Amino acid sequence: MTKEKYLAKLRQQLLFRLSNSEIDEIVSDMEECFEAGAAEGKSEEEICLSLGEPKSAAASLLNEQTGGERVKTFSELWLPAIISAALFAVYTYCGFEVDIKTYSYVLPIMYVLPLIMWVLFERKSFWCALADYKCDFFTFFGSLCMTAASAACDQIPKRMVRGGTNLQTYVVLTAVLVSAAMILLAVSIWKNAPKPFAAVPLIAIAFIVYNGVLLCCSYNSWNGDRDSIWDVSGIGVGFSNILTIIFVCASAFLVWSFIHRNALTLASAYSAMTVTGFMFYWYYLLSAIDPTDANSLSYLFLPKTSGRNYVLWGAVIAAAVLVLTVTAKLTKRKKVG
Amino acid sequence: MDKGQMKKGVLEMCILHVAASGELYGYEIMKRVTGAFPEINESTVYAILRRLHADGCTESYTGETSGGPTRKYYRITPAGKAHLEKMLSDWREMLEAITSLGI
Repeated sequence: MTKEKYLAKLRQQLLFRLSNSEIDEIVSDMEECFEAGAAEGKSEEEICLSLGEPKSAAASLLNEQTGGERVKTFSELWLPAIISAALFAVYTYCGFEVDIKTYSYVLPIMYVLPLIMWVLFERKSFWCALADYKCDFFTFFGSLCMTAASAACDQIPKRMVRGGTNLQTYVVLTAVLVSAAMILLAVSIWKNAPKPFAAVPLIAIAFIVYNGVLLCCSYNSWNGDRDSIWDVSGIGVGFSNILTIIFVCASAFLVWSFIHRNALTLASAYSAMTVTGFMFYWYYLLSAIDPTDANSLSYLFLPKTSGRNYVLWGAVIAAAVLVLTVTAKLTKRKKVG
Repeated sequence: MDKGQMKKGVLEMCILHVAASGELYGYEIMKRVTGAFPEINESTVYAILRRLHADGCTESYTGETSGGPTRKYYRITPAGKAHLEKMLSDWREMLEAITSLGI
């Protein structure tokens, strides 16, 4: 084996398990070994042999790093991710192609399945898996509620557009699950994260941007015609584009967090992505409401649909986040004091 | 008895002992230790050295070899010395106990 191949294999084995800077440092030290060995007249093959297989070298390094805990193999680490991604892909396909009435109970389960896969494989919630995030009651059930909320929320626009039963049940269920998830995850962040408050502004920003943009765009988005939902959700509409940008940014953030094994940003990005997804559907819901039909307003549980209501919603949520942050900070200070 | 754990403890002691013998660069430490334990890979020694370094038992600096490239040198810290002393004392006690049993 050549030096390049050895170092590339070692890097691959350590990828996603140590930070990039740590991997760079290890590879640099190993390069030094190759140089020192070459100066003594050893061939690259001989040096590779004395260093040991890249896989066992990586295992030793990771074992030392984790205090002797068994380190997951590459396939153990990636298998749940691949299965989850496959399930998501199947779900997405089914969500648009399968008759919603026939599979009304199957689809939400499929949405939650990736989470269940994570729990089964990792023995902790999706949220903290791969990030060495301490998993407790709040993290686990918060994550579960968030995913379940996405599943429930996902049913709303489909039911509105294609027909289907229990629309209002799904709306109520979504609201309850999102509220529960927010409370549980906030407590989890507060209890477990090394910098608890960094995650809160991100979630708050997602809410504020949503409400701000919604205020600007909502009246231009629908014309009272239910079929227009798909038109307004098209590429030409600014609001939809902005939400897409938020979602893409959150995804990039998620990847970054994943690579750097940053538990806090991973948690934040996951929350932001879910919240953005949630907002998408509320946007669809809003678009589907016929302003001339008083009954349709009950879907939103607002006395009337107006930009003012959304400002109010945004203000309430932002205030709640602010209160949570300030309270947490004060409590933390007290604890430190 | 977990042979791996026992060997790891002994290796840790040996690595610190080698590091205490002078300011050496990583490859030299690895070579000396694997010279005494030929069945051990250099990467295993490096992993333990890296952990000891993270624990504050050693510190490193970049220095030049005579006319050669720059290398990362390691030297033992006071905390490392104390840790080594503790390990040596434990080792001697264990050795005495084993010897007293006639093993």
